[in-house]
Amino acid sequence: MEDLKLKLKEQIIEALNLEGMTPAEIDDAAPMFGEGLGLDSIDALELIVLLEKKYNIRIEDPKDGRAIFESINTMAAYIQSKQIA
Amino acid sequence: MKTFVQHFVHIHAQKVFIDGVLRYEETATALDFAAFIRNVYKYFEMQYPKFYKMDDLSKLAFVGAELLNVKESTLYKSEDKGIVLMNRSSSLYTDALHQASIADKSDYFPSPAVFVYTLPNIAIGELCIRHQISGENYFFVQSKFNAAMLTNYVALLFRQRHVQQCICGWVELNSNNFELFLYTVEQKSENAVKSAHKSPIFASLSLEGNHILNDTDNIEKLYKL
Repeated sequence: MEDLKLKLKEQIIEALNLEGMTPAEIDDAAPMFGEGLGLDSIDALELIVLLEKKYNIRIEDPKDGRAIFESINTMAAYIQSKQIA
Repeated sequence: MKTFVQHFVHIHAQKVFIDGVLRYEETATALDFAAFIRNVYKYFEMQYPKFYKMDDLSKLAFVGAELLNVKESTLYKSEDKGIVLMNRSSSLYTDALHQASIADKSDYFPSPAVFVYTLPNIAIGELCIRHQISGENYFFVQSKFNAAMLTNYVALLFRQRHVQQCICGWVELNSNNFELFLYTVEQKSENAVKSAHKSPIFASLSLEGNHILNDTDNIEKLYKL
């Protein structure tokens, strides 16, 4: 799980152009939107694309993204649950 | 109605000129646009995290507008500030990036962050957000810098009292070929750049007092600096 989180952080930094940020600076439990990483609605769409492109996971209803993308922890847990399934 | 050039910025050939003075020159050779504009952003200590998410055309426009010292624009209400830009390649470079991401049906992953920049006036939108500009805005696409068109259009905006201050200019980018020439125009001359400059080019400009009049000849000359 820790390996997945690290990889996910690296992919997010690259996909969202979080210039100057390192995986170590992203708190696993911190909210990704709003006060956390400060992501916006376009970033949310990029995360949906990232999941599909890198993990072959398709989110059919973008509204589900709110819970899935709450933090690195929730996102990694979602990916893991889909991979096991 | 007389209007005056307040400040002007020129970015080309890996150099940055502000009000006609060389303020930054890239020392590394054969640097691509992305590396060059990032260096300029850092050199002038700009702080705007969204910069990194913009497409290249918007990054160029953003950096140019930051260097215009539009802090003075706080003198005007948001709705009295306008922006009129022009270029040759529209948003073609970003359009091509988007096209590349959808060309292969077996690898079809369009990026929303790229797609939203597939219009040149998105660059204007970025500047409007940054500098609280909600007045007239327009992006012309022309085969080359057209000082007369720009000057006449902006003069009309001032005459019809649509703006009291306007960011104007040429923001061209196509891959690693780029050029920016931005200037601010306003009716008041108090803030306008004084022509008592060391550069000999100022001797050939039309002036009122020590200030540069916003007319086609002056804009052509400033563009060619």
